[in-house]
Amino acid sequence: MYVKVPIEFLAEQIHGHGLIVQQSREANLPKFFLHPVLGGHRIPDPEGAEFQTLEDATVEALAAAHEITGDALRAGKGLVAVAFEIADEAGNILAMIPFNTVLGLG
Amino acid sequence: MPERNRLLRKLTDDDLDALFPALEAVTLEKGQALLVPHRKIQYVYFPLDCACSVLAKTDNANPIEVGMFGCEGMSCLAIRPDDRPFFTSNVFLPGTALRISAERFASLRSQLPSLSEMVLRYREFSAVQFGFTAHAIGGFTIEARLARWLLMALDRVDDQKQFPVVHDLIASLLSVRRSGVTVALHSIEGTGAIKSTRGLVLVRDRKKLLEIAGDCYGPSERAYEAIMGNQPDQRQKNAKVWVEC
Repeated sequence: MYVKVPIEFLAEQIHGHGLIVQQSREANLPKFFLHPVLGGHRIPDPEGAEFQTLEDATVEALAAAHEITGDALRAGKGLVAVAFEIADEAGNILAMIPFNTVLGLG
Repeated sequence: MPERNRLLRKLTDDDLDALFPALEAVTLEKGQALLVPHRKIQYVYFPLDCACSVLAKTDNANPIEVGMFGCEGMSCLAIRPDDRPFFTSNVFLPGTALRISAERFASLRSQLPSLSEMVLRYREFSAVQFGFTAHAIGGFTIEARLARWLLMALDRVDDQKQFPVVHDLIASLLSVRRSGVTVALHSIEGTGAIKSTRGLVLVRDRKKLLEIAGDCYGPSERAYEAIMGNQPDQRQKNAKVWVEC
């Protein structure tokens, strides 16, 4: 038999006792691997991350591409061609985000 | 001896003798919250071989690490027994610590001059560390900040050369996208400074990490020596702390 307890209540109890607090996470979300491609060089994402949909993973990759590009520009390294390859756990490539898309050029 | 705390080592023999019976050795788990904003402080921790983050968190923005502590210091910067923390403190590398109840600590601190002095000095050091963290966030690349973070973690678990950390954790502490960490780790690995595998970072060449971090790492570490260092080192006498726990 289960008693439904609000997650906030649980977090409060756990905080109060100095125990481990973990983010609640929906079970069985698919894992996507976001492999950055810098100047044509693919960097493997060894860990992957969970997203609801491929679209969510794409949004994250685009935001990451902007951040990496911005970081390089700010450091005076010039414009680095950042693209992304999105794969599933089996290694199948599900999407490519080309450099032009990162720059918003279509 | 891997089990040690540099702040406690600075206490006088008498003060340590008085403090020691109130200390309890505990194991701290990864992710454990030591301080939660606006909540009563239950224990003051002196880490021996674990490392913890101090995080600035708000309701509607991503948290960011503003400080780090481990064997060089302590968890709690509050002065009065009723003080509430404003930052979150979480363990990111598990290990052991000595802890004391906050009430007991407050009463002992007022009776033990060298403890009181060291806590005040550590507070000053923490302000410096938080300041240089802002300096790092504002003026350096993800790569340099990551090198600084690895060096700071290494300082706190120095008998180990590898950290069980995932990219996601580092990203959340540095408040950058996970892929930014993937790229920066890859770039640092290219210099031979580290070896990064799934869930594990192995430091191979500290000097190279120092080069990558540049001015991003070092100022607060030198400040620690300047602020905390003018006290006789009590290592010999205090060796019993590590033996008994």
